[in-house]
Amino acid sequence: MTFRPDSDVRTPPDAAATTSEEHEITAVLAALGRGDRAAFDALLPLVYEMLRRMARHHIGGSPAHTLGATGLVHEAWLKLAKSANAEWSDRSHFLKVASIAMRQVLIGYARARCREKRGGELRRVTLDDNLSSAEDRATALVELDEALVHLATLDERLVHVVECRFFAGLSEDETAVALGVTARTVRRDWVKARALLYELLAE
Amino acid sequence: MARLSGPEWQVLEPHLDAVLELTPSERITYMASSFPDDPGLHARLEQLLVACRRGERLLLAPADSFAPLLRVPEVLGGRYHILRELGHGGMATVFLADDPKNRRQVAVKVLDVAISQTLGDERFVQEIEVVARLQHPHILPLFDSGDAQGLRYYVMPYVQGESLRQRLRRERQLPVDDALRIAGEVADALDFAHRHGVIHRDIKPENILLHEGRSMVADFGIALARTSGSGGGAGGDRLPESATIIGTPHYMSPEQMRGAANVTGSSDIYSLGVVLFEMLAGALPHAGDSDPELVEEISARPLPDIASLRRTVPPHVRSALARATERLPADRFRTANDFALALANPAFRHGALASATPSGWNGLTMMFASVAAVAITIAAITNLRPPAPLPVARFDLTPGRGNGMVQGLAGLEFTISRDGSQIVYVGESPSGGTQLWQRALNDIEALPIPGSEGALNPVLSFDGRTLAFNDGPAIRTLTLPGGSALRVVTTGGTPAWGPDGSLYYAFEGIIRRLAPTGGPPQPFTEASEGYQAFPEVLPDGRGLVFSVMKGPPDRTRIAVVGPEGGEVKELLTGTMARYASSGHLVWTSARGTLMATPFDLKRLALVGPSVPLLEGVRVKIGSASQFALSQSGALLYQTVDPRRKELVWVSRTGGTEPFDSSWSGDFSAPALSPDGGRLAVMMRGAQSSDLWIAPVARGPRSKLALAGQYNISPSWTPDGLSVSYGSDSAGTNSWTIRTRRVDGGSPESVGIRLVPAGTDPRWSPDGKWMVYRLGFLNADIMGIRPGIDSAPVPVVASEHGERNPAISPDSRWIAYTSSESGRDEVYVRPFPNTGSAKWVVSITGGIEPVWSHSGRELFYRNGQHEMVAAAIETKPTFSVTSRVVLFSDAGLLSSVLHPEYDVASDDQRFIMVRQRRGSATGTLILMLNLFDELRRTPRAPSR
Repeated sequence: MTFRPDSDVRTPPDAAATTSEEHEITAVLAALGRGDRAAFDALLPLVYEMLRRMARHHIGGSPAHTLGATGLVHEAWLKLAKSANAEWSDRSHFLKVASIAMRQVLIGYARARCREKRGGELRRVTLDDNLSSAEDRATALVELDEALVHLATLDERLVHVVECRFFAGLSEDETAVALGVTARTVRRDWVKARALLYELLAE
Repeated sequence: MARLSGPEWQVLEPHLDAVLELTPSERITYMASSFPDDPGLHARLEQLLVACRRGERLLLAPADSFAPLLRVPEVLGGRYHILRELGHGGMATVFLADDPKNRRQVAVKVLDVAISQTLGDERFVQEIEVVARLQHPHILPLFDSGDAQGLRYYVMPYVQGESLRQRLRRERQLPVDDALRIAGEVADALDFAHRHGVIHRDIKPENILLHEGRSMVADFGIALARTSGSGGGAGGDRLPESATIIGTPHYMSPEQMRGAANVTGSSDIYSLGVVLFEMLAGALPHAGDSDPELVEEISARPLPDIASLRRTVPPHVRSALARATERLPADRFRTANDFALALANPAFRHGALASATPSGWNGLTMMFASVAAVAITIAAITNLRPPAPLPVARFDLTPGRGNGMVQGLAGLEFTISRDGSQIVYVGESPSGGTQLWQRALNDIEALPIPGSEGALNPVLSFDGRTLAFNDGPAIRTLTLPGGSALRVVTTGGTPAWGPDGSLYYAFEGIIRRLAPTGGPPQPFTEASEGYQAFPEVLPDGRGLVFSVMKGPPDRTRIAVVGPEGGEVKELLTGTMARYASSGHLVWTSARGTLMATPFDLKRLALVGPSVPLLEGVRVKIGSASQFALSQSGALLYQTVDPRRKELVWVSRTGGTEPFDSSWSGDFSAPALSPDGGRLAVMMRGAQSSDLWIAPVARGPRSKLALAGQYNISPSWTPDGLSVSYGSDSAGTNSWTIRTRRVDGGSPESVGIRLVPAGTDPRWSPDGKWMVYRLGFLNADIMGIRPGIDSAPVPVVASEHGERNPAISPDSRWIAYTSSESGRDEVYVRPFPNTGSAKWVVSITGGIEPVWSHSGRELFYRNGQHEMVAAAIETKPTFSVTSRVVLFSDAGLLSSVLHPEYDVASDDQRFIMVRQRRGSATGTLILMLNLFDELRRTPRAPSR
């Protein structure tokens, strides 16, 4: 982080882009609400950009509060709902898309982290004491992502449950809203998804 | 294992869904009957079920925990220069940092965002300030704390050493002196902190650092963030539910587990007690499961007696441990210092110890998959790499047509060689009789053993080359392969080989020994009360274990005799003991539950509580349990065929007569119509469950035509015209309640459209209410007044499991089962005002409450599965005036979900479900690696 001593005003570089992007997202959400399934695919890159920008913004450091993935997803929604008249019923669409986007954001970071692995120091960190290094966790995330690709060939809904519960940190009830199923189904899918992931990761 | 294919998953998923809804014991039954024709799919389903348990340790917290690593600045608080990450734990990341001002390296712990967000809590900030001032040799000091862009951090000394967890992982059990020193030091630290008003709240081996020979307690006060975080408040609702039980809950005191608002220092004393237990026993007192509900259930039980797990623990330590871990805070030590003093005082005794026996360990049922999970501690929240022990595997070895197993009345029908490479069993002979068949497990075909016609009780010698068996009263041997040199040896019962080739067998009530060199057989054991049978030779010639039959099967005892024979010592009630190389005696109860008990070969004594392994092992008359062990850890056993059940009338004194002897199947949940004239009963199929209606007097029975594949737990509407039941027909993966007229006169209806999900419906006799069960493990009883209520209301709902609702004939009382005390008991409350009072009806466990028609009795099954009639008074208020055991019969089935019986209108007889005797050979199952799992916790009770 560097500061230019001649500048005492720091403007977020992409502040201006915010409004139009949010409008676009709510427009797509509205289209989804009318039953336009194609709008779903259009929404993903938009939400992804929004979340990534918000995450980077926070990582960059200035705001008074910091958010995890869960916080990001919820804050993104609140921004949309406030600024662009999004219907409350759009929330389920948004949560589902945001969960997929959050997976992409975090996996993106993890892949970058794996690429920039420090040279020379090949320390094998065990999982003793529930401790693990950042590299290990990044590697684990990438492995998880690959397992999810295979899981999708078996049952796509299970992948969505992982995206909601793990990547976006949604609660059981929120996941149920996002995926349009009952909380009980979410609970069972969550067990099944992790069972299959266990098998895939144990290979 | 091979990757699951899409089509396989399509087939397996509905089964997995169904199994996940069942109790462990129901799962056994379900699994035993799943895919009877396809062993491959059967095994795959087993594997998936194991994976479900293990998978619960994955992804315990959301990816949030990956966020701080992206976000921590290079310099914290303008002072600490982050050098590298040391590690990531429950809810924080620890960095190594440079502190140039003090010219030292420090450890900086940065709390994860979700936790950091809860820190507006004034109390927390105050407490941290107090902690920062705590100066004690056994407390890891806090140098500094601060805020960096919303992330809360703490600065601590960088201690090079290891945690107690690391040492336990390496040594498992510590020397008693070391354990006492560490516990004493931690107690000192706690006492000091408590006197300064600081409660630790998270004492566990991970937080006890061992540094240059002394222990230091880390993370004082930090756990408060979790407490306040999980209890709601700012940001608290954003915490995932799993975060409330991050890491291991096993060290939490019962009051902390219940979420008590203000835990005291007494809670820390409890946690330290659990840590001491683990240091001494080498395992957690309630190790095993990460299911929050189960953990909660388990925590309601007292700790097992440490002396039974490690006998070198001095009596005063045993007493101190028992007092520190009392359920009630008021019963524990008043201060941590008192705990430390007791540990150092050889004269200390705790009065309540006698009652703190590990009775809670009996009667537990569990599935083998739980055994597989025993040894794996709950992994890190970010632990995406699962541990990979050998999975428990089950294979169906039931022989096919032509060499199929033959049902005999008594005796053992199969054996497995010591190395686990071959099995020998009693099968069909071409002449229509029986003979022995041999199957090498790397071979697909079984081969007949010539000269073995009529054989029973086969046993293989230590080298697997010689077979001994019974031929009528004679014991014969023959050499394998080929069955040459058939030899009649002597007369006697089931033989056992010694390592030197001697044979032990029962004859005239005692065990005799026949030396390998021949000569007359010699008495080996002294006579004892009962008839000795089924000897098993212990390793290294250390003696024999055997069964002593005393009449009824449930009175058979397991006994042991030393290497020189002679005096018999009885060990426990059960039958057919085998020695497993994991250090356990494996045996069965009269009801066919396979049990394991830690056994000391040197002292020939039991050294720990018994653990149930699985249910459903076939036990023939004469206490002949159909299982065999190899020293390689394979278990071969025969199940009872679940499809061969029958309905029987049972009188109040236990006399039985068949309901309809021509009718058999996998019956469950019989329910008599209000007028007593008709019976509704469910019958399970391989992949379905149907409802049948049968007249009580003879007449045609009919299967109800219903939409769902699984229709369960029927009960009659008060008018006797319809049955309500749980159905899967809504396709939502949850049960829904439906109602159908039994005369088929109207279409199947969703009886109560307002009930979104639930099963086990029961109507109040006045027709006003329908109550039902919602949920599975943690079920609640819900209710609705059709035509009045717009939505169901909770009738009995708590954090525990409530099941089995039953409303009294006058509709004024509701009986049900609850696990609130830690085991199932029958309770009664006023109805519908259930909140106004509560009475416990059963005293030694209770399930399946059913009201008498007179209203003056409430029937239930007690913890021993006996039928009990509790006499009821309702004036001036509800009371139980007596409890009378009516009858018990091991063959009569029971269920924890719904009553497996109903009462006739005259209250004089019961319609019940009985396992048909001598009816089928069941399934032969080979189970691998079960004992590897037991070995991981050899002397510890576990589940």
